[in-house]
Amino acid sequence: MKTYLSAVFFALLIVISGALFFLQQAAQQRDQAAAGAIALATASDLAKLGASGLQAGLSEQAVGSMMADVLKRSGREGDRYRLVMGNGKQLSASNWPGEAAPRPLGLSEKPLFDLILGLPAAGAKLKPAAEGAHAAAPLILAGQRVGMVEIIHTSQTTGPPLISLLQWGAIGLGVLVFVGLGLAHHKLGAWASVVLPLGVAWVLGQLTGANLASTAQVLLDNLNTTARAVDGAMRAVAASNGLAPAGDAARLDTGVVAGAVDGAALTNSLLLLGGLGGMIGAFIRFGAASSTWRALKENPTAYTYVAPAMIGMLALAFFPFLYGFVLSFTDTTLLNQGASWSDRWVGLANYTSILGDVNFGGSGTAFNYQNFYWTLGVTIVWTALNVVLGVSIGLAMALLLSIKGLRGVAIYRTLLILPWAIPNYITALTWKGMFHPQFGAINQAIQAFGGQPVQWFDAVGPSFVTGLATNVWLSFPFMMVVALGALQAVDEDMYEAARIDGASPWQQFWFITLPSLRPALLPAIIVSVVWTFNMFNVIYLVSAGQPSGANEILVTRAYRIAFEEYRYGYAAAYSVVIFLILLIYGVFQIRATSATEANNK
Amino acid sequence: MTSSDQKRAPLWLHPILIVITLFALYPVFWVLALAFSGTQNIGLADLPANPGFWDRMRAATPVPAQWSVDNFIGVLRDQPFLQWMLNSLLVAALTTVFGVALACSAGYAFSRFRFKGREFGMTLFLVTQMFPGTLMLIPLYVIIVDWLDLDNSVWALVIVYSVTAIPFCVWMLKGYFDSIPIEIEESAIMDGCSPSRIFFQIVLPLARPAVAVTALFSFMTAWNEFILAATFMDEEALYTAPVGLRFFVSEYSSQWGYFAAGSILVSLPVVALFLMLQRFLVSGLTAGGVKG
Repeated sequence: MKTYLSAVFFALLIVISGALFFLQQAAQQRDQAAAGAIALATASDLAKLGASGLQAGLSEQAVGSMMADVLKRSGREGDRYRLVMGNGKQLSASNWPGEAAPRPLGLSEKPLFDLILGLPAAGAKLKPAAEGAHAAAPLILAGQRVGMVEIIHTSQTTGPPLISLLQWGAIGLGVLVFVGLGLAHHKLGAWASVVLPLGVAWVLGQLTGANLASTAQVLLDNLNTTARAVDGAMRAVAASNGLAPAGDAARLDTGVVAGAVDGAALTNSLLLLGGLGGMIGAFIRFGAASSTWRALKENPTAYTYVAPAMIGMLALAFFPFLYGFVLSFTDTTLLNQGASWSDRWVGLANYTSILGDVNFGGSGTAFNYQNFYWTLGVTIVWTALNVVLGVSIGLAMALLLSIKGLRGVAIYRTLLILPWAIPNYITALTWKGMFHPQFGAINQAIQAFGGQPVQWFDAVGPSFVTGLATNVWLSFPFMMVVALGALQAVDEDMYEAARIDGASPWQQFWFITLPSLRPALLPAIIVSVVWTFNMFNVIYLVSAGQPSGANEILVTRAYRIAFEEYRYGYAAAYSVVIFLILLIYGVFQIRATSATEANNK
Repeated sequence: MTSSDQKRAPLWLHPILIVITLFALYPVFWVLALAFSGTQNIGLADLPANPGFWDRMRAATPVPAQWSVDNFIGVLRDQPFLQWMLNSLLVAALTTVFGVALACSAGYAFSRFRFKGREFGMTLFLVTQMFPGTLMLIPLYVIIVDWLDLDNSVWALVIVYSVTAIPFCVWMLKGYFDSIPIEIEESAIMDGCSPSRIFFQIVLPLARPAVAVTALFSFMTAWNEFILAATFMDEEALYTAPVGLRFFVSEYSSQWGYFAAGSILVSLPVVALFLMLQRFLVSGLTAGGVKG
């Protein structure tokens, strides 16, 4: 009886608090979408007004004050506007707090510039700012994008509640009846803790869906009134400045509100929540909870000691991983981050577009270096060459240093280990400087011996070499140290015996040295394959993938897609593909090593 | 047998080794030369109008035309580099404190207690090492910047770095705790010592070397990290040293003298630490490789 009641209680607690959270989010999202629609309508209105103002020869400052005038006449002094001109290099007018205009934009504001180039002609809603809804529209003058109008709409409209108090009361009554039935009938009780949360979640979902539909029209009418007010103010300002009013009266269509909250998605997430609640109900009802509790009680110290690290890992390693995985099934970009998951959901489209990309450019057009398979090929060649060169050089140095009776080994070893000790981003930037086509030391040396200076970053091959040289330089000491350690452990008697049997030095190396090095070198090679495969810093900082992305490896490409093209969903899918490749390599490598170990026995 | 022990290596080996070492250390000399040149030029010497062989060789020889410490003074006084170093120091110190605290307690529990989910938990820590950085970067950006509103705050980096360093530190410390004989703790329990006292007053002092290595590893992780810092910090005053060094020689500026001087200041402490710690790092890294 006690477990039944606590199972029902906890299951419902989860469902109800989860539902409250979702509903609150949905309501907030709907308000945001409504405010976003207003912001977008305002931004595109102001952009049109600005364009006709500039066409009539008004100064940028005059256009700015016209914008302020429009906002004032439509009773929206609280809204922020910002006019960016000169292809994103100049902030011409703004009423954002603490922002002086006009002024040139700084480097850290580069995203603004990227935004202008990426905006659709109709404008776009942006990620809501802390102050309110956020939208931007390009300023188009004679077919050219010359600037952008950015709007933050502060007044938050509050829509009707998604579930009324009366409906909540009815649900509560139903739950009480059901719990009573469960108590009265013993057999029912076992299942009530599973069915009840599911049922409550389902009912909540249906109610929200119905309420969303019935209130949509009210919200839409409110929005249209506001939009017409802005439009009217715009016309009035245009007329008072002697400009022809541009465009048609703004009219928001039903899509704005209908798309604001996806009723089906909300219903689904509520059902999922019900499933979770049901699982918790079953977990408590059928005894798993009490055994977990017993385990916790037996070892309280152990769990308290592990908990902080575990929570950290769950929150900042596993959660991000899952989030990224989910993101990979959406077309999330900088511009539509605020939209609901169901709007962004594209299924496997990112994966098919990455893996199904067989467009290599071909006849007539330039080679398509953005192709996934090209980048994969570069990455594999990059990894293989680096590891082969790193191991060969490291092994050669280790053999030289382990010659019997050599003095000063410790000094050479310490000096040769330096490349590994220096932070690798410094190494990368240093080599980038040495490869400078005009003043770099390497081209000076080449010219001294009568060669032509190499334009290192203009062609695929030389550019690849720059990264390769850098990475081999910073990676050979690791192999050298590993090999040195292993060489000291080789039994001297084996060489002695081999010499007596008349083995040549080459044979000694091949049949004694190499096999004894294998147990130490193999793990070192395995980790260095993964390091090299993921060696972001060297590629990003030395060649930056030049020319035109041809020398990008998978990880740097994924970074560029995410943080320079702002296509988060696509970049996430790209990263998942990288993860799968590494996973396959890992499984394969474990198989291979355990097979060789079995052979050795 | 004894004859081969007393054999001396031929002396001609040394010139070869010296040439190889000098060649291998060329980039280091190059940076030193730029740092002490007193100018911001990337070239080591000015070339005459029609440079001959020796002019070219001079331009490739890593010795500055004039020796000067102006770049060191300049980078600390005229540039915000001291601030950037302090930012890095703050981030690295906080990371060390958090990383070590979390890793010590978790490593101890994994080593000493047998509890439900122990194996599973340890595997979970290892699995995270395989997660690709770029996949984590976007969600971390969302969590840190959008949800926690921590962009341009040192805490963003501290939180992420601490968690990044945990798996390696936990495994490393667990291994060391395993090697401490359990009898010491058993006799302490007999004397009526509480679990937390055992941990703080007996085990931790015994594990001091491993804790030191873990701390230095956490410190170096934070001190050397570039990508996350470059992604989260876009306010110039909050740059860490790596982002700042990149700033000197980015597309928009080429202050190679400042870069070189700054690089030396940033590298010196970690290079020294690294040389002290290398044997621990080699064994730790390859051991992780076999398991993972």
